[in-house]
Amino acid sequence: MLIDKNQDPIGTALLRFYETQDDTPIQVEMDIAEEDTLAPSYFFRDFEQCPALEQTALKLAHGKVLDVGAGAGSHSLYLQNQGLDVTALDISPHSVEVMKKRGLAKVRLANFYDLPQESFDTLLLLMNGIGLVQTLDGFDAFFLKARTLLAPKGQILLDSSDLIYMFEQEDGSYLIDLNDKYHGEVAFDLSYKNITGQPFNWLYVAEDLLQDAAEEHGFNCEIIQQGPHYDYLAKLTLLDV
Amino acid sequence: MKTLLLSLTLLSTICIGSDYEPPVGASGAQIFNDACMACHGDNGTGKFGLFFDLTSSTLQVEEAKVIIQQGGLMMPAFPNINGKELDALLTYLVSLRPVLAAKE
Repeated sequence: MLIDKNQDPIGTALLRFYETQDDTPIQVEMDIAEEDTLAPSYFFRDFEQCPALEQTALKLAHGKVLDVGAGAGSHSLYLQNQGLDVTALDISPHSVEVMKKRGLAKVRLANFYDLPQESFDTLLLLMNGIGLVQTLDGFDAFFLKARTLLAPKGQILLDSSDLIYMFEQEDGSYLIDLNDKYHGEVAFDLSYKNITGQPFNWLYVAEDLLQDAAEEHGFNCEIIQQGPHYDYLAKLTLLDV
Repeated sequence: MKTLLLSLTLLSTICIGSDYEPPVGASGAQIFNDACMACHGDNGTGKFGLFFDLTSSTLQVEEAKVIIQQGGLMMPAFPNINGKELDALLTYLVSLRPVLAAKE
């Protein structure tokens, strides 16, 4: 499924910022926290402005790269400028337009799950791109698809974060309803100016749960680097090669 | 989830205090690195541009000052950041808002 052009708050905000430098924030409603904002300018960061985890991932990317959920294409642009063969993928029509305008050679408006079989050396899912699995159960479909897109010795590079700290109490304990969904399964509702998107779920996953899911689906999961606050960069490779 | 949200709301009035004390004459960047960066990210961009992002904040400086000293919904209070050090931190925080800062 693709995002409808008229219901594309992120893409519209990115296009607007690219064309006019209007940095009106995207309004973000979540079921686990108060309303938050997302600055369009954040998507237009150069290598030096990227968080350390992203910089490491960009250095590790090699060969033929698929940037999944590429947004404004900043990571893809960096890799393209480094001489890599990079394809930037997004389901947002306006984001794809921005990436084309920024000079990316290979941009695809398509859903990750609808891609035909291909052989990439690196699947890049930064800025918590793995959230596209939506729920922990979503890893089944993700890893099945990833197998059809990865070269035998290919790698998946992704960053994520355990959101457990959002539930921390005054005494340092955590208040979580264990009968409820996993605490990293977040329901989002985005809007930008008068444009409202379709509500969607996005997963933030703890290291150990990612490792369990990877192993269950025949992938090795190595934590490459930990960030300053519950965030990490992981590299996943196929076990049976 | 209702229980959780209720608890989070209650937390807004029961803020945790931090005993962090900046060195005298510390720069805003240094205080940010020591006291703020862990939760607010390398450049105040939170995590993935969300979750405690400061760069798209539209708070006035005086409002930010109150939150730093008294705490917020999930943020501990930093009562020991005050005076020149607090001013330095606030100036630094505003500088993290690239476009908004340019407009001011």
